[in-house]
Amino acid sequence: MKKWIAVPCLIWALGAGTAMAADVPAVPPSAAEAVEQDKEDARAIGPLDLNMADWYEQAGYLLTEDRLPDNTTFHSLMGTKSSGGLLAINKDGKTVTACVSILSPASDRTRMFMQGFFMPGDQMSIASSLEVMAFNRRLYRMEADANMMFLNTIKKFRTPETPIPYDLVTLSVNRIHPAAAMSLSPRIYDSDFRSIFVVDGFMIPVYSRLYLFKQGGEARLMILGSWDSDHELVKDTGDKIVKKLAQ
Amino acid sequence: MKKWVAAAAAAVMMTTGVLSANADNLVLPEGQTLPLGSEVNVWKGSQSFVGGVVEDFLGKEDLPNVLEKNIRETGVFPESDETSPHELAQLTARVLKNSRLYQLRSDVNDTFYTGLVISLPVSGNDMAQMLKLASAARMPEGHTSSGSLTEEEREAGSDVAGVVFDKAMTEWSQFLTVGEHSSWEDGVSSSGVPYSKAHANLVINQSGLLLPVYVGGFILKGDNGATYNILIADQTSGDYFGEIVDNALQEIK
Repeated sequence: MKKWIAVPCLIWALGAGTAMAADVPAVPPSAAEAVEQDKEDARAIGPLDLNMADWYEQAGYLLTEDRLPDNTTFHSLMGTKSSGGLLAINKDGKTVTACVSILSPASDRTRMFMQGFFMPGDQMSIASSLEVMAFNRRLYRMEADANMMFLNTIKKFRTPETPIPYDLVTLSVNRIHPAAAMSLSPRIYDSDFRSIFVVDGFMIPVYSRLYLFKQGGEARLMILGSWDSDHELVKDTGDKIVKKLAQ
Repeated sequence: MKKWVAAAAAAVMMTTGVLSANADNLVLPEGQTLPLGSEVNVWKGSQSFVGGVVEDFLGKEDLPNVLEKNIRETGVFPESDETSPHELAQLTARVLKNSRLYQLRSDVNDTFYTGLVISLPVSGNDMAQMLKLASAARMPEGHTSSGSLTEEEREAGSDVAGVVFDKAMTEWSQFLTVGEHSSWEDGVSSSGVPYSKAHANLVINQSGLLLPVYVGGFILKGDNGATYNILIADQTSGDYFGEIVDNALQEIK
């Protein structure tokens, strides 16, 4: 099960990859000044190296009962200090589970940069919009990148005695919803994609959904992963949770 | 007994074989065909790399010897019983060779559903032998010995299996929750094939890890034995495929 949890994280890591921008925009005092400051920051923007390492810090225990829909319970896999675990959703006599993890920026640099997504007046900085574009570009490249990685791994283990098929593991990513603002006030960004891992012919359809929002003065990244067949219910539940969490 | 059940289940899970399956039909090892409709594809496990490896393994002549050694080690039978482990090994090898694994797939309504079907054909003779061996097996702790079973219980064939099942359910109740479920229902297809079917939504809870699964069973009865089939899927896919299989059972050929 733990491996299953790692899958959406891996997908996200592949998708997030690297992006652009160099200097972190400071938090501006007002909306008008923010726009002016943003213009100046934009001129100085260079490459940025945002990747999973910048997010590898578990947020606290945020998925408390009052923040969950009535038909949903949270089962932490990391004690009461983390929001990493499983959501169990009951509907029409069925139980559906989804892996969930809420992460915080792991460095001051990322923390500062993320403020650009939540500027006063519910605006987004130019640096942040470039980050979104970079993320989406990586999202569309994810399938090719992942399959290249799988192929290179298989080549390492393939021998004449054990002729592992080159296509033993492949990934097909389809139905991509690129990162965009799902709510303007408060600002919430979302993205999801539906992928199919084919492992030795067995198809494993997976649904992954991401939210970027601000909670407790801090940017948060919530990752959900489930079977594809449960995508509607998981999306609906995730949307409800993030709207309660976002400030 | 628990080890034996686990070993058999693991072997069954790995089992794949040769089968002729059309895109929309589930063709079982004994040739029965379930028409699953135009929206379901059937993939046979033998098409996989591992499936070929497993098929080779199951085709090995010394497979019964390997199984017999394992059966003796698990202590399913009393040490004084020399013949039962050998007979069970031969029987298990035979059943595994004929068993099949399929994956059902359907991409409809903007949703991708998948489910596994494990099919085990058991002849009448094999079933009779299985019941005989079940009576010879050690009874779980706290129950009467197999030797004290009444003739009626032996004939019913539900003695040891029933006790083991009850015991397993008691143990598993700590981490297994049974949700919406049906009881066994009997039916006859339009072409006269008798069948039984049942299903249950289960939630396995092990150390905080929740795994909801749908388990459906359908048994096709023939003149010379029966084919036991298990459908395993997530609960959403299980609901979807369960209904399709129910309809297909009425049209089975």
